[in-house]
Amino acid sequence: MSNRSKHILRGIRGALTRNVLYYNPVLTWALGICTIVAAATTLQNGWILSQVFAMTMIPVCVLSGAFGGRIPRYLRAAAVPLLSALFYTAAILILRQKYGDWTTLFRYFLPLIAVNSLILSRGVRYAPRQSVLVALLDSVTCAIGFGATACTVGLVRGMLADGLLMGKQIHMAGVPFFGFLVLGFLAALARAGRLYYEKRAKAARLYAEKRKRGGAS
Amino acid sequence: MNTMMDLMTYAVLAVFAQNLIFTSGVGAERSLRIQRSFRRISVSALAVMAFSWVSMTGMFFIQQLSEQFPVLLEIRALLIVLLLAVVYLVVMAVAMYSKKYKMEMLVDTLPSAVFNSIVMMAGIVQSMYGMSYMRLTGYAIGTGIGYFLATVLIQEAIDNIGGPDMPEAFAGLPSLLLYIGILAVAFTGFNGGPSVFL
Repeated sequence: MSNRSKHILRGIRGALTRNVLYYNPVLTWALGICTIVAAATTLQNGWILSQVFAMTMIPVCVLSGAFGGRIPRYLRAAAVPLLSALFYTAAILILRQKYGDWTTLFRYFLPLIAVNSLILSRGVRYAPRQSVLVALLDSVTCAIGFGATACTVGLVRGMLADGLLMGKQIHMAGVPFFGFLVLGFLAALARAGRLYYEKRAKAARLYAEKRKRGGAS
Repeated sequence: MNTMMDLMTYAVLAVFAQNLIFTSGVGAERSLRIQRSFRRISVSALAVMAFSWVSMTGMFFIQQLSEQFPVLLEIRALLIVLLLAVVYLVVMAVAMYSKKYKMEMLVDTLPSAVFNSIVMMAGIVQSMYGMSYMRLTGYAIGTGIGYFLATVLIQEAIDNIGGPDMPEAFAGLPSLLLYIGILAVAFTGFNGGPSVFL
C-alpha cells in the first residue's frame, strides 16, 4: 500500500475514533442532545433520527466547506441554518415515502434537527476553515457518532419501557428526564474510555521519548 | 381583563409546567454553554423571548394559511427558519447601521440565541395547541423567563458539582446531565405526570 493511501486510512481511522468513540461530540460537549433526549425513545426512533441527521448534516458541512469561507461570519450564521432546514425538509419528504407517517411525538420533535447545535457549530465554525474532503470526513464521522448515541439511547429506553432489561416495565422511560439520565451514564462511559485512551497515548509518548534519549546517549 | 389573564396564565405555564428545557429536553445544551454572567444570561433570555414570539407568530400565520395551502405544513420548519433568518439579518443590519453595539459581541451571542431548539420548539408548541395571539405572547414571555430560570439553575450546578469523592468518569458533563435529569423529574411533578408533549 502506498504512503499516501496509508496516510488517508490513518486519517479516516483517527476521525472515526475521535468522533464516534472518545470525543463523540454528543457525549463530550453535549452538542445536539435535545433531539436525542426528546425523541430517541425506541431503537427505531433512534435509527430514523440518525438518518434524518446524516441527510441534513453531511450536505450542509460539505457546502459550508466549499463556500462558507467566502462569506462573512454573521451571514454564515444565517445561511447555515437555512441550508440545514432545506436539507431537513428534503430528508423528511424522502423518508416519509419509506416509513409512512410516524407518531405524533416524532413529528413534533424532528424539526429540531433543522437547528441542531452540532450541525450549526460544525457548519458555521469548523467546516469553512477546512477543505471539502476534511469537512466531508468530519461530518460523516459526526453523523455516525450522533447516530450511534441516538440508537443506543433509544435501545436502552425501549428495552426499559418493555421490561426487557429489568424484568419490569418502566413506563417513564419515554419521558425526557429519563433521556438525560441515560445520556449521563453514556457520557460517563465515553469519558472513562477517553481517560484510558489518553493515559495509553501519554505512556506511549513517554516510552518513545525514553527510547530516543537512550538511543541518543 | 380576560386577555390579560390568558397572557399571564400561559406565561406561568411556560415557566413551570411546560418549561421547555426540563419537560422536553430542548435548549439544555445552550444553557450549559453560555458564559456565566448575569448580563449575558439576561440578554440571552430576552433574545429567546423575542425570537420565540417571532417563531410562534410565524407558526400562527402558517396555520391560518395552511387551510388554503396545505403544503405550508410540510415545509413549516423551513419557513420558520427563513423567518428567523430574516429577522436576525434585520437586527444585525440595524446594529451595523447604528454602530452602537460591538459587532463581534453580537456575532458571538446573537446567532445561538436566534437559531436554537427552544425558539423552534416554541413554534412547534404553537402548531400543537393552536393558541390565540394573546396566549402565544404569554407563552413566549414565559419561555424566556423559564429559560432564564433553567440556565441559572444549571449554571449554579457547574461550579458546585463535583468534589474529591466524585468518580473521575462522572466528573463534568456526565454528572451535569444526571443533575439536569433529576431537576427535570421535579418539573415533571408540576405536570402531574409525563410531559404534555407525549
